[in-house]
Amino acid sequence: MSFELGSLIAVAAVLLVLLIVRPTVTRDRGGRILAFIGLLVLPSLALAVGFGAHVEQSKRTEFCLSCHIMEPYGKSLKIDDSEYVPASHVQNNRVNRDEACFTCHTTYALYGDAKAKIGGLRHIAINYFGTKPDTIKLYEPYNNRECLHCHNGARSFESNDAHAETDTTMAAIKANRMSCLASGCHDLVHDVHNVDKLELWKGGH
Amino acid sequence: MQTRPVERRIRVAAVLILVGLVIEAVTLNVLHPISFLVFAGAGVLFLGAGIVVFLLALLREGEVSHGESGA
Repeated sequence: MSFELGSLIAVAAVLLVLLIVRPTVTRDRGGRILAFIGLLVLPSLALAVGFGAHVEQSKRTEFCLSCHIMEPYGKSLKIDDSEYVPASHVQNNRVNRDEACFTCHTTYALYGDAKAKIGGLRHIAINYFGTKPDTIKLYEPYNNRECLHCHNGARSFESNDAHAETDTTMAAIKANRMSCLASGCHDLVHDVHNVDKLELWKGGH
Repeated sequence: MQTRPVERRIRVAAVLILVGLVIEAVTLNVLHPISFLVFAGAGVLFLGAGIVVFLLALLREGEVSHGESGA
């Protein structure tokens, strides 16, 4: 919780305690203004800011990995092999480690963040009330757009010989006709069924 | 000093909002999907209910004052 939000809640709480202990303060104009601030303005503000804080917290890697079913996915971020896409991205700070999951598992389209959050609610429902699948799969194939959000225009990507294998390879990648992750090139992802057999990097936090 | 009905309603509203704020403060310190659901469910409910009770108290007070001045 941020200092600002904590202060907001604390000030609101003090006003509320005053109104609980001495509701008669509202008999005069100053008391009524205080009641208006304490019972409408500050709670509304705390609600809005608190909701925003919760949504921001839900983007954190720690949040995603707090459910038991995600444990092997968290482990996969530590695989000591640079061929594994999530592991190499996290270990080399190519994505923010504190928001590693959300960075890749949101879409960068107009409603990307909101869709990801609503999808998360569905995951909670399945985790607690539904049947957990043996293998968690994406709802739809991973879109190259999520990779290109960072890699598009990067020298290492644009100048890579494999991406210019034919005249149409680069165009196919950028148009999502050739998947980054499912064309035999960068297809080592979480590999949760084998993660216990793999070496893990001891570094990082 | 005897409390008037509107003051009792204000007290109820304050209690509801205080409970909502406590839920919000606690859930913001627990990083887990369930804490978000507790906030979205119980926290928002208590905060919303407290605000509504306060607004209704103002309305009722307005009606009573209007009735007395009309009579």
